[in-house]
Amino acid sequence: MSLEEKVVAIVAKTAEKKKTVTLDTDLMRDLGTDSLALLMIIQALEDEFDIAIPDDAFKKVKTVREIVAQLRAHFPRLDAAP
Amino acid sequence: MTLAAFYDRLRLDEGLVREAEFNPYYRHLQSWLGDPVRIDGRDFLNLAANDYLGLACDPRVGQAITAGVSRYGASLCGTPIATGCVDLLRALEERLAAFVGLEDGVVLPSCYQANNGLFTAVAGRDDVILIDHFAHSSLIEGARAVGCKIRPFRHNDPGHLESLLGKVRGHRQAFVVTESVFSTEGSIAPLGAIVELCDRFGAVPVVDDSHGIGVLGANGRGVLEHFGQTGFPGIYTASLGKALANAGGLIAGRRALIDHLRYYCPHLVYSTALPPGVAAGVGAVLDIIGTEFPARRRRLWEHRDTLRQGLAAVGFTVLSGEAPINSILAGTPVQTIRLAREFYAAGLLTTPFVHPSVPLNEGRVRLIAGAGLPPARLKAAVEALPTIAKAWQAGSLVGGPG
Repeated sequence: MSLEEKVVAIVAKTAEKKKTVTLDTDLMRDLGTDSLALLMIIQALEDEFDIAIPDDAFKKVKTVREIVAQLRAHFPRLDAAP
Repeated sequence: MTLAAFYDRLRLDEGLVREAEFNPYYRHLQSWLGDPVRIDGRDFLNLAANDYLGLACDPRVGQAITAGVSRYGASLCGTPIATGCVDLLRALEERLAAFVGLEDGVVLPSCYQANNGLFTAVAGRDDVILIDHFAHSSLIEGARAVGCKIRPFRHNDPGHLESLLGKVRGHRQAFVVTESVFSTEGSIAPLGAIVELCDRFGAVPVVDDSHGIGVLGANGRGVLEHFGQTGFPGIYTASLGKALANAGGLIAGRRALIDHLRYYCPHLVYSTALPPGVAAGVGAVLDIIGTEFPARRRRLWEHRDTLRQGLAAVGFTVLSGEAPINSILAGTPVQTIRLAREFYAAGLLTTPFVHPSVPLNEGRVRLIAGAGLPPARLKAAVEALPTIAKAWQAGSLVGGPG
């Protein structure tokens, strides 16, 4: 499973309601992701990849694709993970 | 950096109000809450206030407040740690704690202050706070002020909470925070399951029972009575300004907790104490609940069901909460404010909620039919619902989805 696929699955799993999630899903517009929901996504990513995400790393992300980009920027080894 | 830029930054975006052609917020009441309420020189049926038991205008409560003021004056002009803690207030704290089934309590000027001040007094940066995603702003901001790890769990989802509790590591203490009744939808938290999980994982449960005290339970003693929680091990908070028809906020729990808060909760220590008249008013409400709760409760639920059936009959999507709250799912912020506008035009006062109070595009209009409302007036309101629904639907079509 690619990093993109893993992140899409995590975002879908943390949402309060079942919705289709893609890399282009806009967190706020499409999922209504508020600050606590973003925290839920961050903690799920931390649990999945066993990483500690810096507090402000995801402050400006708007789409799932941007989450993936931020993850890559902060944790380059993630692409190599099984 | 200029003063003009500062004030420009504060300027409100009035786009929503312009598009919906209505501002439902900060309407100026020209009367008390007794039916009808008067606004803009017109009479309204009040389906907005949290006066669940219809006691805000009860003459016995008013007389008790007057007697309290006569004896103690308008204010003690001091914090409770100094001159503000009159015997009347202390007696009320003990009485409220016993009422909800806990050892001791402390009363703050508001429940926002209670929830906001609680966490910095009992938690630190080494702790973790797990909080329901839809918890009230006062709880979220209070938890954030600690600066510790915050782990939200999906709304009313003990399974998700359990998985998070199983994963949190390296903290000193975990707290699990929820409301009893989520007031924008009327759902009730699965408190029994939450307390059981807390017990299993050594976490401290924290419940805000603002919309449950005086409403839930066979005797109106709130969520702990509702769930048969006789030995609740955690922290309980509640507003005294909803069913208890006054003002103030209660924190109750074990004596060690309350003793600690008396010296370490800044929102208590540094706030002017609850006015003695208000303390007397809450006492009078507790007296009335002691004798009249079954009848008032019956009327409250009858009103809820009458309204719910009427709303469903005209095609509104009503969230099926278990509490005596009817919440219509209205959609976008514009659709939501427009629906409140149609109710307003028909002489019905309601409460609209838009993002961020509720999820984006899941705006809702809340109606609470308190036990004090005359049944004939409620019947007339139900008869007006087809016209309201029709006008709202027509407006939505004309104005687009908003």
